Amino acid sequence: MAVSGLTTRLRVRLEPFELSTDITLPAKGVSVIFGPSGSGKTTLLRAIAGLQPCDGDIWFNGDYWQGNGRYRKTAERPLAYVFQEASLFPHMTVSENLDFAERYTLRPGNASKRDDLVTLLDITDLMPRRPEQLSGGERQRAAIARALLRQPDILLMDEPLASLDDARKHEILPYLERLKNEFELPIIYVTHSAYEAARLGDYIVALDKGEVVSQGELYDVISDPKFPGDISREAGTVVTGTVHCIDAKWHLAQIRTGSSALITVPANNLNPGDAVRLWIRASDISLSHEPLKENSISNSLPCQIEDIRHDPNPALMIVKLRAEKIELITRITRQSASQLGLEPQMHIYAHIKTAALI
Amino acid sequence: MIPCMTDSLLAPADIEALWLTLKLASVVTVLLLIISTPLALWLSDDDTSQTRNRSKVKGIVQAVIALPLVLPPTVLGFYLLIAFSPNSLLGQFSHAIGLGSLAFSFSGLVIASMIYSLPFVVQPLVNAFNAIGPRHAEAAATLGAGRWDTCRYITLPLARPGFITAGVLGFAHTVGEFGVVLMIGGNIAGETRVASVQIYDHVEALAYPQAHTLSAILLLFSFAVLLWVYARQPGNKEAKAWL
Repeated sequence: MAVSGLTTRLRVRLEPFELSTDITLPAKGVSVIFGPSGSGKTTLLRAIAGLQPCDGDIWFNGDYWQGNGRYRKTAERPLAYVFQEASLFPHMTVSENLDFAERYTLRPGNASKRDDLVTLLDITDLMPRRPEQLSGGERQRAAIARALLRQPDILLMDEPLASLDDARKHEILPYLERLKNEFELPIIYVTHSAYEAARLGDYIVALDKGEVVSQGELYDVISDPKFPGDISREAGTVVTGTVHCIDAKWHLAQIRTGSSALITVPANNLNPGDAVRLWIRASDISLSHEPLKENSISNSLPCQIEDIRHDPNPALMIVKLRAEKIELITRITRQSASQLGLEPQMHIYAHIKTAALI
Repeated sequence: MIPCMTDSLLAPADIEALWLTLKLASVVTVLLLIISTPLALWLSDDDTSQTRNRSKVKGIVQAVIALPLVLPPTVLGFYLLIAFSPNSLLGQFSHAIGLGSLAFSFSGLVIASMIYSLPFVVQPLVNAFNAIGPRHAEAAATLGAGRWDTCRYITLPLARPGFITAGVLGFAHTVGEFGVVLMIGGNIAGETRVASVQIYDHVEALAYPQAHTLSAILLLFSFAVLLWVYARQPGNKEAKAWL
C-alpha cells in the first residue's frame, strides 16, 4: 500500500449497477474523477467523504477512514467538500459562513489564512451579504473559501462548475487554477466535462457504469482508446510567462515563456511585465521542419519530440514536445505525421495558432 | 350559578377562565416544543443507513402521534381518566412526585392537552426539518461540525418558520380544546374551568350575552391566529397542509 495518497477499495450498490472501484490517487495535485452522468462518480466522492454508506476500505495518508475495523464519521475525516450547488448556509452571511468553518479548522494556529483566501477568491465585497443576494459564481467562490478555511488535508470537489453557465465557469476556472498552484493541497475533482478534466487534471480516473475504465496521468489517458468521451479533443497545455512587449498598432502582446521564442496573443489590456497564463489546445498546434518565415512575429517554437502516440481517433496522432523549459501536447493528423516523418528526439517547429489567456 | 352582571360583559369568572386558558395553552406549547423537537428530528431523519425495523418503529410512532386527530375527544378523555386514577401507575407516580391526583387538576389538564395537541406541533416541525433536506447538514459535517453543533447552528435555526407555525398551532389548538377538558378536568373554577367550558356553562344557564362575548373573543383570536399563519409566508405548505 502506498505511503501517502488516497486508496479506496469500494463497493456501493447503485441501481442499475454496482459501483466497484479500486483506486489509488496521488497525494498531491488535482485528481479528476471523470465520467458521464450516472457513471457513479459523485457516489464515489460521497463515499470517500463518508456521506454515502459503502462496503470496503478507504485509506488516506497512513490512516484508515473506513476498514480495518475502523470507521470515521465525515466530521472526523480531515477533508473539505465543495458541492455542485453552492451549499452556503442560507441563514448566515458569507462572513458568518466562513466563521463557521473556522470554528472547526484543522490548523487553529494558522489565522492569517482567512485574509489570504478572501483575497485569492475575491470575495471581500461579498462578506456582509447573504447567499440569496449572490450570483451563482459568487456563491461558489464563497463556498470554496469556506471549504479551504477548514484547512483540510484533502479537498473534494463535486462538479463545482456544473450548475454555472459558461461565462460563470470561465469566471471560476482561474480561481481553481490558482488554488491548484498556490496550495499544497491534494484535490479530488469530479466532473463530466472533458475540458475541465484536461485543464485542471494531473491524474485522471475515468468511470463508466460504476467501473474504472481508464486511469493515469493526463498525457496517458488522452491517448487511451478506452477513455470515455472526447478528452483528447480538449487536451492542451498550460504555459506560464510574462508580457515582454506590447504591439500597440495590432493590439498584440508578446509573451516570454520558458522557451526562447515568444508567443503572441491579443493584448487585452496587458502591460509589459504582467504575469500571464496561456492555455494552448493540442489541436491548435501544427508542426513543420522550418519556421514560418512569412509571419514576422510568428508563434514558431523550436522543439524536440519526446513521444508519439495514437489518438483514439484513427485519423490523428498525439505528439508530446519539449521547447526548452516548456512542454506542449499537439494533436495532428496521421497523414501529416507521416509526411513529416516524425520520430522521437527529432527537432521540429511547433506553430501555435492561438493561445488563450487564462 | 353564573354571577349576574349588569355593568360589564366580562365577569371576573370569565376573565379567570380566559386567563386559565392562556396559562394552560402557554405551558402546553412550551412543553410540547421541547418534547417535539427531538421527536420531529428523529422522525425526519431519513438516514439511508437506517434499518427497516427502525422505519417500522417510526411508522408506529407517527400513527400514535396522529391519533388525537381522528379520535373523538371523549375516547381520549376516557382513557386518560382511567390512567389518572390513583390506582394506576401514572396516578401513583404523580402522587410519588408530589403532583397529587391528576384527574380534575391543572397538571392533568396539561398532560391531556399535550397529548391532544401533539400532532399539531410535531407535524409542522417534521415538515420543516424535511424541507431543509440533508444538504446543509452534510455541508456542516464536511466542515467538521459534529451532530450536536450541526443541529444547534444549522438545523434548528433553519427550521425557525416551522417552530413558529408549530407553536402557534399548538397554542391555538389547546385554546380550542373542550371535550377532553370536560372528561378529565371537570369544571373547577380557577383550576380546570377554561374558556370553552365557561361558554358551555353560560349556554346551559341561558346566559347568552356572556356566551356571546366569550365566543366572540375566541372566534376573533382563532381567526387572527389562522390569518397570521397563512399570511406570514406565501405558499407556506406546512401551515396550509395542517389547517
